[in-house]
Amino acid sequence: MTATGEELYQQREQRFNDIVALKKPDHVPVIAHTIHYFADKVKGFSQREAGYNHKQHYDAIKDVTVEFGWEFVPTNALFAADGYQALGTTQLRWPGGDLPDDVGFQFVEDEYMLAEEYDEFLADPNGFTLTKIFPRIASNLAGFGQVPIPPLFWMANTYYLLNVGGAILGAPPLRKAIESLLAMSDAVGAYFAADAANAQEMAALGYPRTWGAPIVCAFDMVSDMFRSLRGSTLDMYRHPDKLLATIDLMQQAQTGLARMTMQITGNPRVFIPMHRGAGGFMSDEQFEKFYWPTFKGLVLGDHRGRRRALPALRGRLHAASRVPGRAAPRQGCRALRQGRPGQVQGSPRRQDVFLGQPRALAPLHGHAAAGQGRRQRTRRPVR
Amino acid sequence: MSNELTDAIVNMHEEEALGLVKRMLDAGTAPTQVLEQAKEGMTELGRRFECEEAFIPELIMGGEIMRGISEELKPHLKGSGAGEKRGTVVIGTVKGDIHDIGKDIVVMMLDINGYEVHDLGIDVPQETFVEAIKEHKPEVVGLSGLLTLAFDSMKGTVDAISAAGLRDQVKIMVGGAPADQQVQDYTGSDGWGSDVTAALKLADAWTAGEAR
Repeated sequence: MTATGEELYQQREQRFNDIVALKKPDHVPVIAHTIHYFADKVKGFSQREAGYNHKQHYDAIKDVTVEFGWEFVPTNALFAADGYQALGTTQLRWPGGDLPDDVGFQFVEDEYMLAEEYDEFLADPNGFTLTKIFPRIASNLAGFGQVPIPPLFWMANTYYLLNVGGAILGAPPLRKAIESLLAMSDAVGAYFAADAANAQEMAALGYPRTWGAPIVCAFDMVSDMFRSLRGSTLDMYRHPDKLLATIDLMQQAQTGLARMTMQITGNPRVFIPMHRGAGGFMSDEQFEKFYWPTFKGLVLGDHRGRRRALPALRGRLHAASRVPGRAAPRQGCRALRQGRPGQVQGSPRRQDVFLGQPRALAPLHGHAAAGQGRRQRTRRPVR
Repeated sequence: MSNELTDAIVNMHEEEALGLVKRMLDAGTAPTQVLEQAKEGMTELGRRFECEEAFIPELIMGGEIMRGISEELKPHLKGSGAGEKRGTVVIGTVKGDIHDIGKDIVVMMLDINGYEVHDLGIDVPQETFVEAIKEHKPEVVGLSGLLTLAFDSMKGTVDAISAAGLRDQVKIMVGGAPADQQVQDYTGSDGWGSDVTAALKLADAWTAGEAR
């Protein structure tokens, strides 16, 4: 007898949970983890259409999921381009904005908070975000930085709310910023409606979603979104205490966001892509001081609750130099020659994944398998 | 004192390095000698990076220390001949790609190593590369990209350089995390690299007149 959609859904959830719990599943499910433009390209739609036509985008994801025989519907990581547009977003560039129609959206690397602004941010993260960060990431929110806004508690009574708040809100730059936020919310509302309809339809067909919330390591939040790679790197040397204090604050944000999104979606799986902590970016000492404590917290922090972490460990395979057929270590590279068995963490290099022949890759697989079952650190270069 | 400055740079002791430079100048050390010792520190960082004993933060911080030292030395180096260039490089992230972290590190290291570098920025159209080659007459052109979409832009840029009749005058390297031999072959360039040391080696070989 053919299983119903609900039965398929439960079977697939169980299969996934068995794998996470290190139990043997009845079979290995084929899952496309995360999706941006793949389904649209398969269906012949441009990247521009993908960002603006939400229903078409989600329908493409549905069709491709079914056609390709995936057991889960991949979570869509493409956000509403009309939402970016409503804000006058400057932190991202996208097709339909000022990028060509057939190019994917991209992040604009910059210092959205300066090194000398750490104290101001730490003293009042909300006020700083409103008056400094928002205007820097979106041109239509410039008003928040142009009109002097007193602390909200100054207006914690009807008289001052009317006299001060009412007067401020009348300022055209502030009005424009608020109207832009509302327009963004309308655009995102339509996007979420398409998202919810897709989740419901796919669930009825028997397809759970791969994950519900994306969260990032607190260091990545600071480095990606506030200080840039260059800025956060210099901060490791020049302002380590302020950097660590901001990382602590960002950890609260990430765990809070995970909890909030779990409540909204009902999906216990959170995706944690590793950015600056990927193999080859920083030293062991830097990793252990600035990255690992909070990354570990995200992965393990909710072990008593429902949250299931899907960390994406990235970076170079550091003992690859010992794999037969690979180039010998370079002269003077003592550490590379000495590679330690069982210390291989993270993903193979992309060239190995996409260009390697099965025979050449076999030793890599064997090596990675040798590390299984050990208590592993995330990814560390051999030193 | 010579190793002290090199060590301070290698060990990321910024204030110590800048203090040493001032003391060396005050003590009458030739500014060209100070510069050479500072460059030794960056060379050692490059070697450690290649061996995976140093990582991107060390390169960035080392570059920042070097920038401070260069500022300190600049007034003393005028007319000393220390600015003699090793070669000229035109570099940029190709059209459609706006990533610049890797390119900026390459630009920094080329600059420190004596190259005159013309950085065209990100999302650079083919014709801008062509115009820059006509204007600056570089020996080396660097095409950078992080996304796979960059491959077609790189190929288009190489083709545009050929169509302008400039292909024989320059060596072209393609770089970025996804670069490899296939990308070099596909784009019709002369070399590829996925990190800063590869870019530096290619530029050194090409400006020294070595074979491709």
